[in-house]
Amino acid sequence: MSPPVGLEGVEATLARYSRLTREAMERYLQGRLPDRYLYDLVRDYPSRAGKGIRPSLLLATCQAFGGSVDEAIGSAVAIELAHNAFLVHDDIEDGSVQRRGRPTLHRLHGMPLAVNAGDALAVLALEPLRDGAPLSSRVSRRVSEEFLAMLTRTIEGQATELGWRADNVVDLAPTDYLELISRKTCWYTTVWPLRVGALIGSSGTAPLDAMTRFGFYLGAAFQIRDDLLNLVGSEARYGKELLGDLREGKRTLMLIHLLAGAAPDERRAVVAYLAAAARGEPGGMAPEELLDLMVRHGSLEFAFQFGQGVAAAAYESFHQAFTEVPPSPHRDFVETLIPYMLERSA
Amino acid sequence: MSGPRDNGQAEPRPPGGFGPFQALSTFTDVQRRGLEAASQVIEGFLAGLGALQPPADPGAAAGNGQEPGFAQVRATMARALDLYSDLVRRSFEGYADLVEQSLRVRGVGLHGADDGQGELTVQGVAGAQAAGTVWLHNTTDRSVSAVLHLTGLTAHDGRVAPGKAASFEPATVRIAPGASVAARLALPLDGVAPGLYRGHVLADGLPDAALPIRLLVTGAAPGQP
Repeated sequence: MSPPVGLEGVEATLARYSRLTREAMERYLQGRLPDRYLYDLVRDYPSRAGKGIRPSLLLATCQAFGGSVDEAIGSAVAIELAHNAFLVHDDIEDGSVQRRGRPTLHRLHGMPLAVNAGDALAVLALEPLRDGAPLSSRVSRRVSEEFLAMLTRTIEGQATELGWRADNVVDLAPTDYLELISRKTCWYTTVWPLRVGALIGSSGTAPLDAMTRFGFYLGAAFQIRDDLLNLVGSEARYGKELLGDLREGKRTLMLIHLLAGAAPDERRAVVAYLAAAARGEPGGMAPEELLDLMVRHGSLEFAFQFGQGVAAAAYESFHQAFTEVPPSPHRDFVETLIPYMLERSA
Repeated sequence: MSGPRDNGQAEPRPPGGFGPFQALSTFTDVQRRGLEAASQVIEGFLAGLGALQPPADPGAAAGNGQEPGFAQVRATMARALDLYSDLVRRSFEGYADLVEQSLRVRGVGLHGADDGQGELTVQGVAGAQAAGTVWLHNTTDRSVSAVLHLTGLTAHDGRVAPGKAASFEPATVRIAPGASVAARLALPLDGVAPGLYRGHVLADGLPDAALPIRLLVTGAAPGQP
């Protein structure tokens, strides 16, 4: 594999790792019954090609540390299945209508079947981690421990976010946002893939704290960009309905910035809007008006620059995390994911 | 690839010679805020993890800064040790499985209701009926059919309670490989004097199967027929 060049190069490499993982996932899910009420639903989201950031990060890190795709593909399948389980349940919790360019699972099949399919994805995610070749039992056990810890942290983060919305919590600082996404997003999007890739590739000899640090910065840059794309991205590329975060009253960096800088009457209107969103009702303003307020107060520019600062930290922590890793296309690919997180449009 | 480097805000630095605040002079205020806030959160998070996590794996490195070549040697050694350790473990597991298999008696066993014990105890009032449950466990890999019957039951003084009066439901038992089936025993106690009797439940078609049975017959309570 040659080093990725530019955004297109990164996306080509992501697509390659993503395809490897999707093929393994399809082999894993094929032939299971019943089709109609369960496994057709279980296979739906995984078949809608996502970016594949999680398995790509895991597989590339494993290879950079001297391991092979065969050794790490089970873990890549596990994180993709868990990711899809989260998506199914998130879409229900958020009342989302679109996922990866198509209607969400609960809109296609109804709430009860979608919840059940999400449960099945979460349980199926554990299977590829069972003790057995090609991993040693010691490494396999550590991967499973990491997986369970990651699931717990992600669910804790999700609970915090839902709670903030339900209670209409508005006095938040950027550090609150970062603490939230460190659990809700970073752990399963970047920290776990990096830690487990290094764990498998080095047979458990790589120090993992540096991976956690790098993964947090990288995941935070990813989430900030994701939140921005929800407001100003291309719906066709982004795959979700634009302004969905505003309709749901999601606590993003832009919203926190606006709440801190808005004039008193504007702030009152925004708080009332968020209270209505928590009840699933239309607020006193349209989401487009809220976006307009954010633009006027420089909240989008603030988030973009804030993300650049986080990405700079990611860049530096990358060198610490990969200091023992010899140069290779896999190492280069992981490094180029940092600017990719800031520039991606999907 | 554009990004921090191409923005001219954070040039590449050699490994080991960096700190997250090294390039702050080239940052905007907001970028600096982002970097500082993220550093604050992650360092607090790591400090919390340190308090929760178990001691590091003995095979794991104490820290960074070693040569890439050394890290690869360390990983290769860990792989070799893991391979050897798994081979030893699997050998022992295989041996344990063989021993367990050889010790396991394969056949059809008769057991009492309560528990799988080696004796069935039933009791009843003279002139009434005693009842109990017999379990048949088939640990073979073929289906088995058997007809249960009860031998005569003998007391210590030589008195006999006839076993022929007993009935089993179902009369003929069919058991799939690896399955268990229960049969209900009913024994009329007409003409049987109070006392303790002993005998066996046997199974026609299963010469090695026998379940000892203990029958306790009590006298009728005063005022009862």
